[in-house]
Amino acid sequence: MTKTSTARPRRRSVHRRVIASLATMAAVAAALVAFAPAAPSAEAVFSGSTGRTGCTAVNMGHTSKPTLFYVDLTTKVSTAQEWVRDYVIDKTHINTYKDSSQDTLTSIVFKDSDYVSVCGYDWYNEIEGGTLALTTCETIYTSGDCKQHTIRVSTVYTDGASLSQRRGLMCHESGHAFGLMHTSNTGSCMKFGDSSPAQNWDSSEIAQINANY
Amino acid sequence: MGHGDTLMNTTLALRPSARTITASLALGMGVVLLAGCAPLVTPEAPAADTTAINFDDSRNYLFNAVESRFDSTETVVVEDSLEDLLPSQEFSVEGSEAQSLAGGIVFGTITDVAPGVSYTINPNDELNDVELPFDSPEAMWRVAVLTIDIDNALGEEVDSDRTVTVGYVIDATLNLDLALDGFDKLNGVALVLNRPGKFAFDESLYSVRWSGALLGEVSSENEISFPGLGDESEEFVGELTTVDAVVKADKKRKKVVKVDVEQNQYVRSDR
Repeated sequence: MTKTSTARPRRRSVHRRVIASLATMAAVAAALVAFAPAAPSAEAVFSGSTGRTGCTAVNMGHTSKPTLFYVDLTTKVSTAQEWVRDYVIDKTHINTYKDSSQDTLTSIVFKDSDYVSVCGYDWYNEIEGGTLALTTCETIYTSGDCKQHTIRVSTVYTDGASLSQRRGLMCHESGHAFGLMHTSNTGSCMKFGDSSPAQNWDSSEIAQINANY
Repeated sequence: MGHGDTLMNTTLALRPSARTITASLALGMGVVLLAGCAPLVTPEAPAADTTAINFDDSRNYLFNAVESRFDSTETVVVEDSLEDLLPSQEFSVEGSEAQSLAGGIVFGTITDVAPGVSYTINPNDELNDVELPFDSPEAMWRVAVLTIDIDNALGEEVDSDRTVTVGYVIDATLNLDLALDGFDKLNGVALVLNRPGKFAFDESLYSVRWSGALLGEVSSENEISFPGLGDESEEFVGELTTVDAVVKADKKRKKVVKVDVEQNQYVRSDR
């Protein structure tokens, strides 16, 4: 269908009100992100320290000795994550430690549930597919590094997933928590949208982690 | 793109006041934050905001945010290309009635950006988000309502309308002024839509597929790209690089693709 009418005037009043009412919030957000480096290039495999928090939060962690806390994880998810600790993360300079309780110093918090709408994502269902897991950054250090990540995993997916799929998924999300981005390399678990994912980071990703932690 | 000039002129007329308000407030609030909200803001950090308050770059700011959102997740879906999302390409998943995966594909111009609502996570029950006013400082994510004047629309549900309204999720930590201005900077857009119903506050709103990542641009040469996909845009678009190519491809007759779900993998009859 090709539009043939003349252009209608834009309705600007609402937008203007939005801008006015949100100016203060925008200022706060601006102050928080002002020192963040520019977003990484599309080719990058490593985000670096972006200063980002919230639902849109690709950002590396702060320490090579992160503490992990599992919030009542299902066995399927926790065993997959433990495998990732032993066989994926262990191939880098990073040494992870389990936290006995969750507090503000916990580096990565793991949660799983049958999420539907957290952060506005289209979460997984069997017929349509969707978001399997999400890594967010809750708080940052003055350097812009992430102080605390949260990894949320859809049990709607993991309940029916194979062991290798669950390991691949936790490898993928752990990679995000350490600053890895998506790749087109099918030999890495960071490949986006791979229903039969690899269960490892590739050599360039390991090199990036080792160079930055 | 008949609305291009009007859109840009209006945008330019609006920007100085918004920029002035935001810049002055940013400086003021930055000082407050630096003084009172340590340790999250370093005293060595640049006082607000020469980079973030750059309206000339708001288009890139918006798409960087879209890409960052896309880069924060892992997602598995039936489709792997724009061609799969054509309304004329139907899929039957696990024996269900054959239907297209998307609610439609729209090409046009954003003519209005209005406030919707915002949400935060209920810390005691993450399955029930807490709805808040659009401008709530407690929000984790917001839904802006975009009105798009349609140039071309594919799909029975949208092609008879002159406009379509879409709920678009943006992160609450974004500089909202810049993000909204980023929408204004898009001369032509390509949107792959889900069917309406995602947003409880207005179930008539469409949403953008792949959690918003399939918000694309149409160049003055009618070429399509999805900057929020980063490097994956080219592979996703495939040979459907122009609006004309998409419209032409949608007119071809296609076989229904049967899909079986085997251990969370989509096994397609055409592969």
